[in-house]
Amino acid sequence: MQSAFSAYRYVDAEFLAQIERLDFMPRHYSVGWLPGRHHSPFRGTSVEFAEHRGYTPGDDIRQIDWRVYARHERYTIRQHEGETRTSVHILLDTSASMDYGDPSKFEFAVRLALGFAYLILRQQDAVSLWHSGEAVGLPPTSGPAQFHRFAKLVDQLNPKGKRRVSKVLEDVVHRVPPHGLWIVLSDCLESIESLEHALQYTRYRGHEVILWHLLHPDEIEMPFTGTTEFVGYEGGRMRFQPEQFREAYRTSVERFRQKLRLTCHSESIDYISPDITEPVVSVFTEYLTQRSYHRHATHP
Amino acid sequence: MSLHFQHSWLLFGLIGVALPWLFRWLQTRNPHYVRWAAMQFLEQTIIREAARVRKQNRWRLFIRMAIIGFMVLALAGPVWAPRRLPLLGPGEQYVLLLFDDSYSMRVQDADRTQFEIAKQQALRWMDQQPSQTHYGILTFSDIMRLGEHTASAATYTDTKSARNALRQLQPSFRADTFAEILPVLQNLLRTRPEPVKQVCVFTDGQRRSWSGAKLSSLSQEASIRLILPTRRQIDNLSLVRFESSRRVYAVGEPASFTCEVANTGTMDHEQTWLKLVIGSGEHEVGETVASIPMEVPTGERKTIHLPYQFQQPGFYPVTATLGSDDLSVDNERYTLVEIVPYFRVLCVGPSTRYVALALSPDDSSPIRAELADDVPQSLSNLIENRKDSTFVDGIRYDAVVITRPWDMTDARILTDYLRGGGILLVFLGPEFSVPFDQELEWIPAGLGAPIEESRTLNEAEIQRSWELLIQPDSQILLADSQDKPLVVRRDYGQGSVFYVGTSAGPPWNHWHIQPDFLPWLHRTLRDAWERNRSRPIWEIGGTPAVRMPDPSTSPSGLLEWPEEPGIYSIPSIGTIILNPDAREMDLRAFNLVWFWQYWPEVEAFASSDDQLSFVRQTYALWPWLWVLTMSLACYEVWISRTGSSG
Repeated sequence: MQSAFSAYRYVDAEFLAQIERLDFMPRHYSVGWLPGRHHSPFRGTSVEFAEHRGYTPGDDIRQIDWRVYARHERYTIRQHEGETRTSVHILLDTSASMDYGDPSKFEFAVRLALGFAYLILRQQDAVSLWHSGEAVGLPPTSGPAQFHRFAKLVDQLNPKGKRRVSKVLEDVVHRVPPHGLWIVLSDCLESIESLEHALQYTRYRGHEVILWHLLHPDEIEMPFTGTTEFVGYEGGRMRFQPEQFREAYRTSVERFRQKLRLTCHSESIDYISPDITEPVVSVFTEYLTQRSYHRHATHP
Repeated sequence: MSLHFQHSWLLFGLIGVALPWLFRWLQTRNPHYVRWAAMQFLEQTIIREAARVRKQNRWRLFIRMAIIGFMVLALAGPVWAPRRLPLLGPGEQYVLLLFDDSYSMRVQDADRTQFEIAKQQALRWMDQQPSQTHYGILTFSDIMRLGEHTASAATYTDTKSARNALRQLQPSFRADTFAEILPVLQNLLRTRPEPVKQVCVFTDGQRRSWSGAKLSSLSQEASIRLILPTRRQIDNLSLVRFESSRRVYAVGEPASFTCEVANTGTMDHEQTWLKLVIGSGEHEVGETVASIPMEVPTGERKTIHLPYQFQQPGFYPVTATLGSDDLSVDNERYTLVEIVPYFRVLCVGPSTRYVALALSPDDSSPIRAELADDVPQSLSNLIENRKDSTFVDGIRYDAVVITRPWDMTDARILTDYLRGGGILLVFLGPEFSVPFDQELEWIPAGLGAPIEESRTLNEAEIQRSWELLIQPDSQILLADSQDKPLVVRRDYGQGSVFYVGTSAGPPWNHWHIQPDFLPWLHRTLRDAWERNRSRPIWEIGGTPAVRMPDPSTSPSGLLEWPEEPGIYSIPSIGTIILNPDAREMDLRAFNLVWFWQYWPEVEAFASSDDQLSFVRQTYALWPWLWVLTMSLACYEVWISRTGSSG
């Protein structure tokens, strides 16, 4: 496997080996035609008993529970829980602002995306990749080959341009079947209103959304001193003394994050704002562990 | 401008005021460049905070420049020495303008007297006072007008009326002193209701009464400010002493007058003339009988003796005059001499012929002695017809020499004679008896009661009895080798009695042929005449003089006058005594003399080694600048810690 991934720039075989034992399960029911590991709102053929109902003409007589008939002389159909595959859509922000930091926010986001893709594909689910760049996205498909396509596409991406992730999300979300799962990896440096609208629309389409808000600690704290000229990745420049604006800047950033956090909470969206200077594997592992804990807590 | 800097060269440090601006300019010229992603947050922040931060930056730049500026100024040590009094705070205040109008205030400086200059200073100073100022205007001589009635001192509640009153203020140039008016000032200040009171004394300091205790007592009532009228450059020769060797001369007897001239100014005086003027009578100018050129350098004195012979009997006012200078009041001195045809002595009794011979050996002697053998009868006849006992038969006897009072009538005549200023010499000889000596008021030494009346005593008995009974107010002038009193004097009335405890001749002794008898007799009589005839002048004391300050040439330290006009304080108010040697004069006694108008009303101002140091009143500004600097520094630190929070 290491030899198979060595050709890709961002794929870290050691990282993938550390996360391959983890589970990534959607919080909601999945709707799909192909059988899989995830709960479906429909009755299916799994081994897990769901309920009995009366026989109606046209039902498959193989599903009649003869034991119930022997006891009650009444035809009863035995139904089981449905299990299906799910489609996970990863939206990667490739705007120029993602290039900040060392490692950059883009690199951190790419490694997260690869980790999610690897886990999802291992669960026989389909994964797709959407981004805010010029290249075409990767449609949802399952199977090992999809990971290679995923990694190859990621290698071709570079953080540039000004395209907003909210715009991409609104454009793409109606092109995929509903009741999927969206993983949005972005620094969310855009209008909070457009971002909220895109997230709400995604939720309206029945998708589960996980928002990774990737900000470098410098962008939160602005630790610079002395006269500094800030040159924007996406244009603009400003010269001032950061210490004079630091508190106001922190207040502004915190207000934005708080508003975004509240929106996500009201829309049942997972909001994660990690410290991107920490190793990706620890951030990834910690998130999945907490998610698994909460899932078992809500679905014992 | 009265602003001085103790270290003025440090003012170059004010260039450092530009340092904060320079650092800021250099800092903005070389910024750090940062590629930044979250520009949207920066834009929001800058839009919201730019105006506040810009204003704060300018304020902090100003504060930093002010800190450096104030610090440099504080290090330079600014001191404000106002020429005028600083403005007082708001509210009512009472200002008492007290003017020294003594003679020394007559000194002219640029055609104006010190008093006029002081008035101009007071007018200018009043312009600086707040509107709610009430004024009182007094001069030293107002003590004669006010007395103890301090309420009659006018108070001016507006500046305009006070200015008018001040313009009309006239000096008396009397000799009244600060000490005399001090109780008036204290009473006046105690009755004033204003919360702030101050006394501004415009004086040249030429008063002997500036004692520290007096100033301290006044400072209990109000703050005191001494304001000097003008700069001192005085050309002044002072006739500090003028006296005659005797007050009474006989016609043709050589008289001698002593003049002491001092240069009490601050500059050398060119050659001047000392003139001796003899008046020929009351209200007359007199005749210049001597004129001597003289030069006295600054700070030095010269003594000159001027001889003269009077040819006519009478009273003569004698004047010594110097040339004109800045202060003319001390250029003339006066005295009075009496010229008699001769001194007439009546010697009564046979034993006094030796005395008469000693007093007038020939006709050219200034003393004429007359012998009267039948003295009791002649004395009674000559004196009893005249009420004025000092004159006998129209001719004054300057002294009477007797050997004993013979009876009560004689004693009564002699009593009147002594009261009128006569001189009585009593030589106790063998004929002395003890008739009624206990009843004589003027007797200097009584004889004891054991002695039998009307009995003739010998010398031993007399001395044994009177040495124990000398009157308390008598004075022993001469004693023998065994300290037994020989000559006793007692003053009685205007005259004097001399008791000599031995005879003027044989048979008791031969004193009359001793070498010391003649000088003793002459000196005793002349001194007695001097003392009795010049009694009013004798009581006045020393010759008055005016002492001018000498800041530059007096190593012994006269008055340390400031170099320029301004407001000065006295640092050690409790120890200053000006002219401790100066004596009070009793001019009232002298005014009894008939030529009183010749006498100038000058202040006795003897020399003194004490110094009066005037310290210019200054206000140190640098402590306040340090406080301001430290306050701004603390404020700057506070801003730097909290300012970024907006």
